[in-house]
Formats: sequence, structure tokens, C-alpha cells
Amino acid sequence: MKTDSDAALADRFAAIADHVDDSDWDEVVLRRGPLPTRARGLPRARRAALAMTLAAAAVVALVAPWDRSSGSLSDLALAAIGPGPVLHVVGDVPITEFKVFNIQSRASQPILSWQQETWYDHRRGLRHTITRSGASIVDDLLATPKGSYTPGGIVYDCAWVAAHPIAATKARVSCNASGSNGTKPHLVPRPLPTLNPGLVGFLDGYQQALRKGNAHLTGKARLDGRAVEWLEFKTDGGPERVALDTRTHKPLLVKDASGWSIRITTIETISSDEANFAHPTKHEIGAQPTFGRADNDQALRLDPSAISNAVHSSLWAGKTLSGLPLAGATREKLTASFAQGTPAPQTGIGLQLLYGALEASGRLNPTHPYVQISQAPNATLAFAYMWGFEHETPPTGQIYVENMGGTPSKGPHGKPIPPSPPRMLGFTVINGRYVTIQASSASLLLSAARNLRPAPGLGIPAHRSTARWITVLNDWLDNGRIDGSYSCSTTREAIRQFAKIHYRGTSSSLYLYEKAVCRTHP
Amino acid sequence: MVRGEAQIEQLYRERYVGFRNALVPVVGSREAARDVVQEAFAQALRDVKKLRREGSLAPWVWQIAWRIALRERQIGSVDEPPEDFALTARDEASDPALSAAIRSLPPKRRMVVFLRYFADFSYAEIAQAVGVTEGTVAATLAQAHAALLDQLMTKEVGP
Repeated sequence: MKTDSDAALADRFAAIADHVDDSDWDEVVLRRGPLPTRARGLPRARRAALAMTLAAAAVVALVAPWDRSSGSLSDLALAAIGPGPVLHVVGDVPITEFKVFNIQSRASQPILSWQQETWYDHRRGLRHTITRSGASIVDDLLATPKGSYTPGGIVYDCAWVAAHPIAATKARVSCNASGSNGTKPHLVPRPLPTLNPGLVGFLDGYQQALRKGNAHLTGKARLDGRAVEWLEFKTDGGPERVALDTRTHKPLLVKDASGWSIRITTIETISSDEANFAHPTKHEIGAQPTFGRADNDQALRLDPSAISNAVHSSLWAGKTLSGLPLAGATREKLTASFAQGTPAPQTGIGLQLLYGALEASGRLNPTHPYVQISQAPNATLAFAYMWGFEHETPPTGQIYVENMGGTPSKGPHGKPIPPSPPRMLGFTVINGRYVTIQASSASLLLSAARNLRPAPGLGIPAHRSTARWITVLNDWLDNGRIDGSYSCSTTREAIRQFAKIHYRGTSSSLYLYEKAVCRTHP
Repeated sequence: MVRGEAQIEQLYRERYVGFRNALVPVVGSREAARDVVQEAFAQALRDVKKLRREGSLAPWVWQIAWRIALRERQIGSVDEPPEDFALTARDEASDPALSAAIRSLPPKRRMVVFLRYFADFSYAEIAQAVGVTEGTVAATLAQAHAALLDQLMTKEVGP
């Protein structure tokens, strides 16, 4: 007997596989360890702040080879920045991971960016960086000789862990691979915010780099209509380039080898009284989910009425999308929860649509063209669908797009590895639904966004759409429970109409409600 | 929210059990394999910036897990799985014929088989994880299928 060998072996392995799920994502996050103070380990916003501040300070330290007719560049640079003890820098950091497109025209839109404001007092070892998206604060980090602080409290760095071993063990953080902190507090020196061994200290390192010829002028250019001179430094992270305005001698742009850059809009020195070294407060950033989960709740029939009946206000892109058949539709239970359990977890219903060819596992085959559309009722629940935008909701008609795959890479011993299948990721809001689209190409992704529309519902004539029984069904379809109060007759009418729909999911809660309300109020 | 972290978490939630089961043959027990997977994902979070330069996610995390597993065993190398890389005693008791058939394969071919059937890797992911082309993966699996089925038929049907 000939059988599909792959499927046969898969079944054989499945029979002996251990299906117990003892995963624990919270444990993974804790194993990751405390946030280090070194720039390499900082979140992007904080790393950007550090590089920006130190690069700006480095300009002050330029040496005599920069002579100009009106004096040395260092004197001019110093004059440009001023004598105050606190360096104050404001700049725009482009979020380069995403491109923004108009869904209908496919035209590129201006790129997203965050604004970073930094105060830096070298003498007192203080650095404070606030990152904003529009008017909303997205990050706030105060670094001091006694530790670093965010709106979530103190940063658990290795110096803190050493000084508070018992509290660190309770918080399940450690700087030791074994996870053990001991019980006796001891001193681990905490480097000053500006002295980063990994970067070899911008200020001194750059002076040495210039003397040794590791930093040099690379040429002149124009930037936004202004004449600039490029200065390139060698750092541990690769070349870092600074564009100096030749007229004002102020840095206009700093960029590094990773693609990060900051466009400096203000650079000055100010007095200590004018500086902001206030501790971040708990409520300045709204609660953001730290955990999101989508669990398969129910496989749906592949027609619009089944989909719209199962998930309120659902969108779909038709039975086919750019030649790809609708291959799967699943109603999903979404959960989003927050650090330390505050606020309480949010739950709701999501919908996932699959267009393309499916593997035996039921997942889309990524080696063929595909589109996966996941939709949630709000941004918090969309966290389960990789939605990370708490402050940058795409404007109506626009989509944020990121290219996640197709990058050539190297394997063991530097052998080139064929690029992974291309994978585009898109985020948009349509009809109040927060939509995440994954696709094998940008063209398919944009086609999906353009074709998403409300899934036709129960087929109820318009003049009947305000009937009370509709409200009962919508209430029930939203989360599988009846949350409102309805009369016995309305509920029974809803059940009569519901019976016409051939709904394949569980509906016992609807009938239980009918029994309860009709027994007490027939 | 760091973009890569969300994807690592999604991978974890979708593929944790598969990764763990594929590592049990290396480290010998579910508990040890769990520890390796937890540590691998934690390291992936620490190294999330490398994500964009390392190709797709599942093979990259697998490579981290593999190195940690070998370090735990202190044998084998990145390119050469340990000789005793095979099903555990528990699995052997469940399916002695499959266990014997697996042991008859060279270690590298065993690893491809485990990645396919325990970790549910696609051909492309296996290729990236072990550093070969998809064609080589297909050929390796075809050879493994033939050898395994031949062994299973012989043991179950008899000579």
C-alpha cells in the first residue's frame, strides 16, 4: 500500500509526541534579565537618546585641525552651543522599520517619527530623555549615578541587584547565569550615564580617534538647503556620522550603521534650574499591554454571513483575493494583560482570515503567495496580533507596512543561507477594526487592505435591521454571552431567526438565556 | 513595544511545544529541553536587534537553542549533532520500531527529521536552521523517509 510518506511519518511522530504545554512567557521575559545600562541593551528610544547626547557633546571636543579663518572649529562649536552646564537637545528620530502608504493610491506617505528631548549634565552624571509621539509620551528614562528610572519605577541594573539581593530574588531578576543573588548586599559600581565602556566614551574616545586618524571629515554636502560638513567616527557599533552645519557649527543630523538617525532641531546649553531632571511618574504613559494572546475559538464556514454572524463588525476581502482563495476563517478569543496585573486583563473576540494554500497543519504555506488578515476590536486587544502602536494609530486610509523577510543571511561559518520567504506586515484601521495583515508581497498586502469591507451579515432587509431581536443576536455574537436584558418574546424571536442561519458554532448560552428569561418573565 | 519582541513572543506561543520536543533527543528529558527553550527565547529577546540581519525567526531561535543544548551536553558541534541524538527511552517504549529506525539514520539526517516532525519546520526553515539549501533538505528528507519506512516495514511486517 502506497501512502504519503510525509503524512505517515508525521502521524507516527505525533503519536509519540509530548503534547503537554508547559510554556511560560513571563518566565522567558524574566530570564532575559534586568535592563542593562549599556547602550547596546537599551530599548531603541533610549539607545537613540544616549547616542544623540554623546555625539552632540563630542562636537564640543573637536581639536585644532578644524581651524577656520575666524578661529578653530572647536571654539566656534563651543560658541554655538554656549556655556551652560546642561546640554539640552531636541531631535526627531524616524521610525524606519515602517513605511506608510495610502491604501487607495498606494502612494508613499511621510515616514513616522518620534521626538526626543534630552537634558544632560556631565558634572552631576545626569541624563534625562523623554520620547514623544505627537503629544503622547512613549518613553521616559532618567539615568543618575544612583540608578535609572522609568515610569515603571527603578531599572533593575546589576548595581541595584547587588545592593538589594533579596528584593532582586523576589522580583526574579539576576545578573548571574545561575539566577542566584545571594543574600548579602555588596557594591557593584554603577557607571555614570555618560561613561559607556561599550562605546569607549564618546568624548574622550572621539578625541583619541581624531588624533589617531580614526575620525575624519568625509566631505561637504547640502542638507535641507544648508551647507554641511560630514564627520565620520569609528565606534564599536560601526561608523557614526555627524552632519555639521558649516554656518552655525551645530550638528544637524547624526546617524549610525544600524540605520538609526536623529535630526537635531534644537541644541543649546541651559542652566540647571531650567533643566528637567524630574523622576518619571507612573501615569505619564498610559497602561500598555505586555502580554497578548489569540486562541482559536471556532473554525468558521467560509461564507460572509457565517463570518459576520460569528464576529460582530467583521471585515473580509471576498471569497478570493487577487486570485487567492479564502482558505480559513477562525473566530479567536483575544486576551491582553498588563504588567503586575494592573489594569485588569482585557478580553474580546478577534477574527483571522487566511487566503492562499494551507499546509497539513492548517497554517498558510509561506512558500506560496498568501495573505493572513487578523482583526481586533481595539488597539489593546490587537496586541495579540502584533499590534504595537499605542500612540500612532494609522490615520484613516493609511497603512503602516514593514518588510519582515527576504533578507539574505549567513549560517554557520559564514555560509550564505538562502533568504527566508518574503513576509510583509501591515497595520491599519478600517471601520473601527484594528487590522494586522501578513502577506507574501507588498502588492498582496495593499490589495488586501484595499479590498477589506464589512462581511455581509444576516441578509436582513434594511427595514428590519432595527428589530430588537437583532440587538439580542449582536449582543450574543460579540462575546458568546448575553450582557443586556431582553424580554422573553424578543429572545424567542431572536432564536427563531437564528435557526435560519445554520450557525455551526456552540449556541447553548443563547438557549440558556431564553430558558432563564422566559421562566421568570414569560 | 519593540517590533521584534512581539514576533518572538508569537513564535514562542505557536511553536514552543515543537521546539521543546525536538530538543528532548539532545538533552535527554522534557525538563532539560524546556530549560533550553526558555533560555533560547530569553537570549533571542536580548539579541532582538540581530533579528533583521539573521533571516527568518524560527530558524534563528532554533540555532540559539541548539547551541545552548550542545553546551549543556558539552558534546557535539554546531554542524555535527551528537551520535546519541535519538528518541528518548519513553518514546522508545511507545514506538520501538520508530526509535530503532531513527537510530539507523546518520545524526544529521535525524536532526532534519526531528525538525520536520517535532518542531514542524518548513523546508525553508530547516534549510536556514542547518545551513543548507531547500533542495538538500528535500533530498535529505526523501532519503530519511525511504530509510525509515523501509526499516518500519521490515520490523513490522517481518523479512
